[in-house]
Amino acid sequence: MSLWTKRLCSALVLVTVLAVLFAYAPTVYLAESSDADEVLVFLEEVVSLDVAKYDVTQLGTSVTYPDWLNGLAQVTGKYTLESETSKIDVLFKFRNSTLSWCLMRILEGSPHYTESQSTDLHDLANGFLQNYQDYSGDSELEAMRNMLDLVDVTENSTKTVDNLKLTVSVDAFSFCLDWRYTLDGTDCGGVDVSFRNGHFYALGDDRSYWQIIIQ
Amino acid sequence: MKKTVALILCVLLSVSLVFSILILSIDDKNGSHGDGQNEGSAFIIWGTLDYSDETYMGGETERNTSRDVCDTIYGFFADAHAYDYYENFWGNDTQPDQVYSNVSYCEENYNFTAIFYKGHSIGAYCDVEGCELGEHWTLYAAGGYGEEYILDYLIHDRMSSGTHDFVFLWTCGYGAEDKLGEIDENGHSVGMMASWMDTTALEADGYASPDGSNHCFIGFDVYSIWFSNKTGYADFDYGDFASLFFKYALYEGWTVNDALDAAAEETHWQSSFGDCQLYTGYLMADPEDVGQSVECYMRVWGDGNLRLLRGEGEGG
Repeated sequence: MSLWTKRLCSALVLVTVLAVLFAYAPTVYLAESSDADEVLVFLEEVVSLDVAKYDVTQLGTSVTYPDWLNGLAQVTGKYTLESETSKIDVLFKFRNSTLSWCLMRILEGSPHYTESQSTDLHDLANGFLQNYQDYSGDSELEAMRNMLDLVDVTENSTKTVDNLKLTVSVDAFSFCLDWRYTLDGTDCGGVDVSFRNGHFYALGDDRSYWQIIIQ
Repeated sequence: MKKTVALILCVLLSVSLVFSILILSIDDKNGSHGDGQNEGSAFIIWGTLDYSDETYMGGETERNTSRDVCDTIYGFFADAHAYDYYENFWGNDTQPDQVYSNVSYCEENYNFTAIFYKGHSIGAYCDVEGCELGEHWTLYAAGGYGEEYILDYLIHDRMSSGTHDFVFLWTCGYGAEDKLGEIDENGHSVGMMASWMDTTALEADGYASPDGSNHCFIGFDVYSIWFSNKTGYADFDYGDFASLFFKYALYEGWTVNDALDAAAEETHWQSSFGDCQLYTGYLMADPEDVGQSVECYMRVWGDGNLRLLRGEGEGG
């Protein structure tokens, strides 16, 4: 085989290998992975989920710029967490670089927690909010937490203190708490958290971008 | 010499990039999403043109919104490259005979068919000898009220393989327990779930308790909410909810439940489908009791864990 033939063959092999590598290279950007990792921190620190006990699989993330967010990025993704006795799906969305939605769907078994979960709805919600406040460093959550003492969380009710309105919704599916700021009678941003069968189910927090979407 | 080596490396890298693009485009054309196990899937949109009644059908605004949303949903299926056959027959192409023949075609050629219908419902009686099923249920075809309707039992007559696995009827009533229907010993059917899906044995709340059947039927209990109705959050309407549901189901490959949650979260104050008014109940004007409202629901029957993005190890 001549030297040129050898070089040509080597070049072809190199081209093939590189082509396959380029084609199947991971398409998740570093920034997205970083956002997604934040979800695991949220699950550990706020939901008290013992993430270390699970095999965690990230099923990809995508970045979009929906019209209604007026140029802000939305990062959407999903995790599955699986152990021998528990399987959980976790959906999430980041908007304005902040975790704005997280939903935890228990598919099998009972979740592994780092600390036991209260069976009392008031204490369950209070503990969650305390953890969320510690995690986010957000002092607004203190006022929301204090409002829990003003309502009976076992029945549907609404309570307003200054410009903050708390709505409690209880039905066969879930127990839901919704705090909304109101401005001249109009609902503004807020926090919405629901629990199902004594476990965290979903959190929505649109305070980081609500001013953009009501323009 | 160094310049020559650098030049060769640049050429090699460029050629590699071109080949990698070719590899990906071949993958796309195969409709492969991962393991190439797609054995054939179909998705069809049907919809009436009749929105003539402003008070109870929404008029021109609802008709145009319905057309636009169905176009958008069709676009998601086209972009997803996950279906072998997908058509948007909203409008004039929604003719009873075309619906029936399409049911036959999909049953015979695909192992998974998904249906989305937008329109209205009305009762009727059949002329089948010996039918003891009572009132039958129909869908408006393109022409709407007073024209030939799409009849439940004629849909079922075209069933052969039972592969209509996802049916979403955005119309009044057919998600209610008393409208699911039944199939008699002669194979004669009544009701939309029974007729489209060849079964009535699906879990009543497939969102809260998915039954693992790989069949999912979504319909409305009492009146369906209009696409043009606002959700109350930002500027979203229920057409946005419908299109976002399909977007999350196809672009993210999420389950029916996941997509319902993601669409509800984005278009409502609430953070899950289970907490939003589609699930907990919403009020609609009652044409049978003028001036009054009635509580209505979106119902998910069967398997909320079903995925519409086919070809990733999903069963038919």
